[in-house]
Amino acid sequence: MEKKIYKPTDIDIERLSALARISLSDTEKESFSCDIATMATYVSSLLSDVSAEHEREARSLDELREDTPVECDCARDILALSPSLKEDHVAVPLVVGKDKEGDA
Amino acid sequence: MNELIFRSLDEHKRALTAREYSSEELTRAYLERIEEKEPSINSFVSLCQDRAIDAAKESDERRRNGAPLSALDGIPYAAKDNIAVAGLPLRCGSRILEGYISPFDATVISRLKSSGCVLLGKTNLDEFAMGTDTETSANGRTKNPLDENRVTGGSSGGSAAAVAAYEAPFTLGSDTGGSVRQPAAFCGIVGLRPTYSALSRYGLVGFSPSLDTIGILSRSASECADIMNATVGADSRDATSRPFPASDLRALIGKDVRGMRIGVVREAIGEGLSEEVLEAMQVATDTLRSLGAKMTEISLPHLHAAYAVYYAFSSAEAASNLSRFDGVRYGYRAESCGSIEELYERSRAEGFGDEVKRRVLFGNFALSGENREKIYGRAVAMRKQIIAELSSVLSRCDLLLLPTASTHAYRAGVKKSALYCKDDLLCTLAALAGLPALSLPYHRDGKLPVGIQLMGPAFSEDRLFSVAHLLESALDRRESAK
Repeated sequence: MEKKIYKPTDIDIERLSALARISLSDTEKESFSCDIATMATYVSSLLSDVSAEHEREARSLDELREDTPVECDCARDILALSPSLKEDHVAVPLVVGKDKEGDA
Repeated sequence: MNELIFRSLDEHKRALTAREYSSEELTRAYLERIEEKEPSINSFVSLCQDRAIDAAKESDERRRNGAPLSALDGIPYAAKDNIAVAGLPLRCGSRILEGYISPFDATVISRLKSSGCVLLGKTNLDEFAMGTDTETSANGRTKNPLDENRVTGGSSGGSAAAVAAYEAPFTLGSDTGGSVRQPAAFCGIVGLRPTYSALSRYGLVGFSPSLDTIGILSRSASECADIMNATVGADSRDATSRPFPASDLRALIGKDVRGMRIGVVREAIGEGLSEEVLEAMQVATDTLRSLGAKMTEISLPHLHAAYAVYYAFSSAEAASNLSRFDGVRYGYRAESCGSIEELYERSRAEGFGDEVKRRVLFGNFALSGENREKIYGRAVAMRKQIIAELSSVLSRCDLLLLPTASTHAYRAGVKKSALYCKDDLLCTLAALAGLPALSLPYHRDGKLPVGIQLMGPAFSEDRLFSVAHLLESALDRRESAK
C-alpha cells in the first residue's frame, strides 16, 4: 500500500488553524507544519500495511443510515432545556443544583 | 515527621479499626507531609485541608458509633485534576480552565465518599492528560520524588508522585494510552488501567472517549483491588459503563497460578529495552515459571503500529472533544475581541499550551479531506487488526506479560512532545483494545525502578491482582525490603 512522505509545505496550516479555531503566530505556523508533517509521515507509514479485509470492514462503518423521525413522548421536556434568547443575552436553564436554586 | 505516612493502606485499615489512631491524626499526618514535600515535588495543584479534616472527624465519629461506611472509611487519598470534585477548581493543567470550579462530583469521587474516604486535594497532570512526563502542565512540572532531576512520567505524574512521596496512600488518575501505568513505573508504584467501562467516567474531563479510563495508583496490587472494589460498577450517568462481574476483587487474590498460561510478547522484548527492563522481565518470567505457570512466547505482528493508531485516534477525538473550550462557557476568555470568531480563536490560542494545540491541529488534519481515509480510516482498520490479533492470542493465554516502558524515568526536559514518544506503544496496546493492564515496579538498590505490565482479557482484574500479588516480593530486590 502507498507510503507517503509529508513535507511541511503539504500541510495547509491556515485551513487547520481555521478548523481548530486556534489563531497561530507565524512562528507557530512554521513549527506546527513541521511537527504535523513528521507525525503524518510516521503514522501513515505504520498504517500502510493494514490488511485489505480490515480496511474493507472499517470502510463499512462510514455508511451512515438515513435519519428517521420517530414519535417522542418527552419532546416537550427536552425542548424546555434548550437555551432561549432574552433581550441582549442567551438564557440557559440551570441543570446542576436546580433542585436547590430554581431556574436561572 | 509523623511516621504514620510510611505505613501501608492495609496497616491503616487495621489501625483505624483497632482505634490505634484516628482518621483525623492520619489525615493531619498526610497534610503535614504534603506541606513538607510540595515546595520541591509539586504533585498537588489544590488542597482541601479544612474539608479533609471535617471528613476525617466525621469518619472518626462513625467508628466511635460502630458504624463505619466501609473498610476504607477514614483513609485519605487524592485525585487527578481532570476528575470533577464539587466546589474545587478543575483545571486539567490548562490555562483555558482558569477559575473554573466544578459544581458536581464525578461518580468515582461520590463512590469513594460513600466508602468514607477522605479527599486531600487534586494532583498535577500534563495539560488535558496529553503527555508522558507531566511537564506540559500550566501548573508547572512535577518532579520525580526518587530523583528530582527526572520526570514522573505522565500524564498522571502528580498522582504517581504523591503516592511515591508518601503524600497519599493512594490516588486516582486517568489512562488514555498509558497515563497511569507509565508514571507508576517511573515512580516505582502500582498502576492499574481497568477494563474499559468498568469504572464510570462521569465527571472525568477526558479527551478521547474511545480510549479514556479512570485508573488507580497505589503501593500494592491488593490495595489497588480494595480501591477498585469501592469504585467499580455501572452508572446510569455513563452510558459506556457496565456492571463488573466480580463482587469482591480483594477476596479473589491468592489464586494459584499453577497451570496458568502466560504469554510473553515477542515483539515487546529485545532491541530498545534497557538492561533493567530486560532483567525485570527475566525475573518475572522465572518467578512465574517456578510457581507453576506455563510461560509461552507469543507474537503480535502489528504491535509496532499501536502508537500510530493511538495517536491518530486520540488526536481526532481530542479535536472534537476540546472544541467546547471556546472562551464562552468555561474559564479563560481573551479580552477586547471584535467578533465571536476572534473570541473563540484567541481564547483557544491563549488558553491552550503547545502540546494540546499540536494534537488538536493533527486531529483536524487526520479528519479532513483525503486524510479522512488515508490516516483516520486506516487507523480504524489497523485498530481492528490489532484487536483481532490480541483476541486470538488471549484465546490461548490467560494473561500477557510485557514491559510498561522501555526504560526508567528519563531526565526532565529531554522528551518535549508526543512526536518523541514512539516507545509508548507498550502501553497503548491495552488502551486500543479496552483491556485491563497493571504495571508493577521492579526495584533494585541504587537503581531507578522500572515497570513490567500484566494484561488480560476484559474483566480479568482478579487474575491481574492475583499474579501481581505473587510477583511483588520477587520484584523488590532492595535490601530494605528484605
